[in-house]
Amino acid sequence: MARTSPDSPSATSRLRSRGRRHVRSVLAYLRDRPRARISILAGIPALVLLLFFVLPLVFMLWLSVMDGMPPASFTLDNYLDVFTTDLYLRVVWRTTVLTVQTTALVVVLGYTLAYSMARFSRRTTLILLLVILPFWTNYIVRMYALINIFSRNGLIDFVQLALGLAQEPGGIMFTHTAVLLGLTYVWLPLATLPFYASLANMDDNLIEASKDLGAGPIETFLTVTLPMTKNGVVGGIVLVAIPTFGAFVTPTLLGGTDQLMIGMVIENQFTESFNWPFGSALSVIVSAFVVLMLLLGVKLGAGDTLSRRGDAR
Amino acid sequence: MSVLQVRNVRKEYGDVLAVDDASFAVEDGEFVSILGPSGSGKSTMLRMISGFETPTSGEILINGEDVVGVAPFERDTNMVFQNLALFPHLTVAENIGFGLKRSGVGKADRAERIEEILEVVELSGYENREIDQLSGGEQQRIALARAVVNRPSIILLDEPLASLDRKLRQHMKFELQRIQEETGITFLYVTHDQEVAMSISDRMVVLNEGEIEQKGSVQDIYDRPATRFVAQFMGDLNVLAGTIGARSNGSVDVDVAGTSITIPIAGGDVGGSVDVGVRPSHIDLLDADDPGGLLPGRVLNHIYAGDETVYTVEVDGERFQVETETGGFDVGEEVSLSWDLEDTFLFENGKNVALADERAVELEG
Repeated sequence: MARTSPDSPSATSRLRSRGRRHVRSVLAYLRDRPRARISILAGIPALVLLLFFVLPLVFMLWLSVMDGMPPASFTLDNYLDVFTTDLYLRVVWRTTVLTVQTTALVVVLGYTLAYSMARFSRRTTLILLLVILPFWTNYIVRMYALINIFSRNGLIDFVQLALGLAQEPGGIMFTHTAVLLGLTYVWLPLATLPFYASLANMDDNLIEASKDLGAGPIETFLTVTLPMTKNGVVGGIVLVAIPTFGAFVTPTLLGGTDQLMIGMVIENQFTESFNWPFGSALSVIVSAFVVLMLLLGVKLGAGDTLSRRGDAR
Repeated sequence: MSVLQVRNVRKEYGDVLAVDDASFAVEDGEFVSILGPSGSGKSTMLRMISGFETPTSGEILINGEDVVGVAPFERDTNMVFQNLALFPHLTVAENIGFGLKRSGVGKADRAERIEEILEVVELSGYENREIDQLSGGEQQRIALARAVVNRPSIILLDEPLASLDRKLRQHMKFELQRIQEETGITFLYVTHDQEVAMSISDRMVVLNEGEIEQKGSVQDIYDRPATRFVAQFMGDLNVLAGTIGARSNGSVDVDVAGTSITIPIAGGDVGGSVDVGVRPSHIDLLDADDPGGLLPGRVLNHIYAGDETVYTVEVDGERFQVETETGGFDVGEEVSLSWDLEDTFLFENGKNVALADERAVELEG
């Protein structure tokens, strides 16, 4: 194809320059209209949210008060069933206990790891990479690795037998401990990152100032380090607690039917029992719980400092 | 008894020698500065006294007790950090009361002492303010109050004024001095700013590359610098290389810039090379043919600075700064320089010949 010259512009370059002119005129139009600019910028994500988030949520709410697959009539029986059936209450209780335990374990382990990375380690980048690395491995693959460790004649048994801690291989599959360890393993890296970020942002001189003013290491940690990294801690807790409460893959693979969590029950309603209205009611309850936790987190964490500053000005 | 005694302290980081065999003492109620350029080991010195670093060898005594190995939170010292390190999550009162609370001072006493100290730093009524509501100068005062309120044996200040603009620094400098006098607490101030150090301290310790170059009163160090480094660090200095031509009773003839000058200093080896130093403020300019002139020169540049004029004069290939009230010399004009010969410094291998000579006399006597 012949190269275009300024005297005889080819069809494509003419088109291109016309396109550019159009873009320029649109930009010029927007430059003087900040409101239009903002509506476009905010409008696109708002539309996506509406289609893929708000509408399904409304549909779920609507479905949860139906007495069968639509068309059907209004009822609150689904909610009543949840709160009056022993099984579901037990499942919700177990889910809450597992969530609290997992979150506590993750906070203690993750904070310790983040602290040693931020304060003592010279190889922070390498350790950070190792923390993030599990995310690049498929979730199911990681679960099967855990199954190999937990099952009868697995790694745990091997070690226990070798050390004489157990006489017979038993494994810990399908126990509360297995689910707890599995959930902790999965969420630990996720929580370590906000912990690390808040610790790395903290001025080390504050720790020295505290010691200089007579506070020992534990007192310094409790009165300076922990309050200074509160937002990171709350962020990590929210990041762990919410998905744990709704978890269903990990407890299914590691806990089986003995360790039912609410997420498994919901999944079952949709994929096996085909009781979508009841599944929806359960989902609404879980969502309400999660929103409550988020509000609590905001109140304890970022919200608190924001409002304190807000009062001041 | 000295509040602080540093004896033969040495600090190595691997192969790097940060502080080399430093010894000095600070008396009760004194305001002492450790002055040195960056990397001279002055901050390391302070961190060893506060307990954040351990000396490789040597002793640090606070009120006569060796504190090497004692944790920072068990030492009777308080530090004012370079970046202040105020706790942003606590109020002004909580910041100031932090140390008092740790040492078990009751709530009522604490409130009283916080109020008292806020009065001293002229920020009465600031108890419930947040730290990020305060201006830079106010934060400085709170950081100082947080240390002073504990009434430690010694307060260690790590260049807290360095981040302030010039005007505020001038002001805070006098505030520091006032607060130190009012409270009577011993201050050890570390800085690279000789102007601040000279104007606020009673005595100074000049550090260079981990070694103490000189210690003494401000006046003494300025007028009788032990080394060429101290003379140059403590103010401007013009330097020319020369050779000692002859020595007579109480004076030496130095060959410098093609002429011979007789300097009233007894010392130095005949034939030895020396550095001749004169401060810009001591020099006066004369006409080129004036018989009182000591060295010939040519004006390169002049700046009017109020009462006086600052000239740059080329002398024997070197640039001399001259601060004088005598005006009227033009750029390119040949002049001669003159000064009171008593004001001449003579350095042999970087050491002040006059002081070396005095020491020799002391030893002989």
